[in-house]
Amino acid sequence: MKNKSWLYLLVFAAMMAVVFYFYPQKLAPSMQSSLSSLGQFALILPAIILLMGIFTVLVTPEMIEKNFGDKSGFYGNLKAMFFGAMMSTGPFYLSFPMAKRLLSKGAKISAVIIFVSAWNGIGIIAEIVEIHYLGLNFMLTRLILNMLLIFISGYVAEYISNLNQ
Amino acid sequence: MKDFLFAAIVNGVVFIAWFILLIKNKSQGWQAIKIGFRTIFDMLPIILIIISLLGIVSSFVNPNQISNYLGDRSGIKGFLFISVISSFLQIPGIIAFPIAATLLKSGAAISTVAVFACASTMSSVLTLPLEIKYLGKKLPIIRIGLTYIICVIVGLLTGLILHLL
Repeated sequence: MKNKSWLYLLVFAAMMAVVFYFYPQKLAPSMQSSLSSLGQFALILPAIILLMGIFTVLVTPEMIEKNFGDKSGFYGNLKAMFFGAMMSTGPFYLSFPMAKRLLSKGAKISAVIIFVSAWNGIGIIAEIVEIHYLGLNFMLTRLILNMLLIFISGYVAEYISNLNQ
Repeated sequence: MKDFLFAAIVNGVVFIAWFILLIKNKSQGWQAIKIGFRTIFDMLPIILIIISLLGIVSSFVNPNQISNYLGDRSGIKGFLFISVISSFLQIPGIIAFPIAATLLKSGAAISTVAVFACASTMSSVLTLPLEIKYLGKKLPIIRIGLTYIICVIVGLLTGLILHLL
């Protein structure tokens, strides 16, 4: 239901109207701070809109399934991370059915775990927003650590899941 | 000023990329714009709620309170609290990072902000049932456990590295 979230906004606005009825002196500072962060968001909004569209059009699930392959090893896992980051414009819950299809087509567990984690944790659009809000140093440090650990976690997950077989 | 420059560069580069797509394939170019707007339209109510809420909360909550609970003085407690809370719900990056920036500005520790950014985007205990429906019990549970460990390490190391820089 698409319209549901607009309903939430309406309910939220009503709730806030009640809050400001009791605390009218908080209205001005709240508005000021909200508007300034809305402005900051609006600055990169055009890029977000275009990138979401571009990735959805160019990076299709079929394309990834075709290129994912069942090749194991370092290179295959690197590719899985790259594909995950490319897909991250879509809602995260779409990563589960896709992971299932990849597994059934013979992809390694490590690659699929890396793919799902990268889809959720690393994304080109998300990283642009992260630089915008938290700065380049923060984003780079966190991204490099995150990528490294996601990569290792793929191997660990595969090792654990093979233990009791 | 730095924000403006960064936004201008990103918007410019993305616009050029989109323009190239449009020239190469007219229908894909227009489709990308349409999908981009539709996606952001669906997300907009939530984005507006979060941005207003951030403004309202920051006008009610004293920055000292936040830094007491989540700042460097709070020690490991604030860090662990945020790491657990943010593991429950998956938040898209474009919403998570404005929240993270507000936390940072209000005096939360860098490592706490980093663990929030990592765990809120990567792990979702609440949708674990959905993940299990597709991938079976074993893999999602292994993944969510590993993701928590990843995020704690990413948080602590990001804080440490940025302190040293």
